[in-house]
Amino acid sequence: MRNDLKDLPKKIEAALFAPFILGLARSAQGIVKELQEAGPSWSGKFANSWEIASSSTVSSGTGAEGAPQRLAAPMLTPEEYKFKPEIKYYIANKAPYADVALDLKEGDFEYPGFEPRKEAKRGTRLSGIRGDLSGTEGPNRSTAPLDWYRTYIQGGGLDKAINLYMQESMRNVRL
Amino acid sequence: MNYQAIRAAIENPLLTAFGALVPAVPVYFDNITAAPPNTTTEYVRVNVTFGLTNDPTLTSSVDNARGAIIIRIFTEKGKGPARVQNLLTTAANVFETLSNAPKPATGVFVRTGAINGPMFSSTEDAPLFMGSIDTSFIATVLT
Repeated sequence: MRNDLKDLPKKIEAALFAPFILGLARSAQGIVKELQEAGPSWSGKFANSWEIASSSTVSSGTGAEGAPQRLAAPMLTPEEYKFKPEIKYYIANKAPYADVALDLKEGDFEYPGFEPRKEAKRGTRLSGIRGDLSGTEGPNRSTAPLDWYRTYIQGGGLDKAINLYMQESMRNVRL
Repeated sequence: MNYQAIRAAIENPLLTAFGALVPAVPVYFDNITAAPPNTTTEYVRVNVTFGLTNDPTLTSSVDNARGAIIIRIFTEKGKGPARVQNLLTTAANVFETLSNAPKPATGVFVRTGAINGPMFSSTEDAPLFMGSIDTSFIATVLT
């Protein structure tokens, strides 16, 4: 009984923070889902190579071929939620060719012997950047528009996802 | 919303800045095919992409757009980073000029965000050396 009372403040705190912690986790999961949908997907390995990391735990995608698998974010502890670092989650892609898929670096491309699992735009790739295709006919194909990642990050997609999921979780708060 | 006016407000200063260099450096915008890299010693590729339009968190105005400007500069391979960095400076100066311009009574008001980069890339097969920077922008169409 005495121990129960001793833990009571912690339990109250955990219950108080739970909707916010859940909201952040769902935001991170929603961002990964949107990145999986917006990004390129030929075999599906890249879309399944995202990972969500908190300061103590990493949740990694399987890196498997096929349709995008949903990734569960690690739950923050009340301490992680309350205190620094300010950034609670890091989202990154661990595929070895991630920079090429994100249109950050030039790549070398060759037909893998099977068709893409996502609809592809056709054209001619001159610069070596994945999505930089000219024209509508040509030998090269791209399954996501040029600069899809930077558009998502800088064009407002990120804020939209966080707002959306945070609002959804806030509706369940009982004060 | 006038996306074309926003695009012009961003692209024109870049075209002017690179055109004023001696020698002038060709600039290729979205949906314009650059000459094959092995026949061009250097060029600039500009991509303007749009993200959110009329997001209520931007302002109460209904003519706001957010997006990203990505500059990729290709120069001769095997000659060091100096040339590409000089050209990146030209692009970064345009971003800063855009961001420091006073708000006009009419037209397009553009504000750029933090500049990311430069990042460099040169694969074995690629005939040119690439440097890139990018920034976010918020544009308001004033009438």
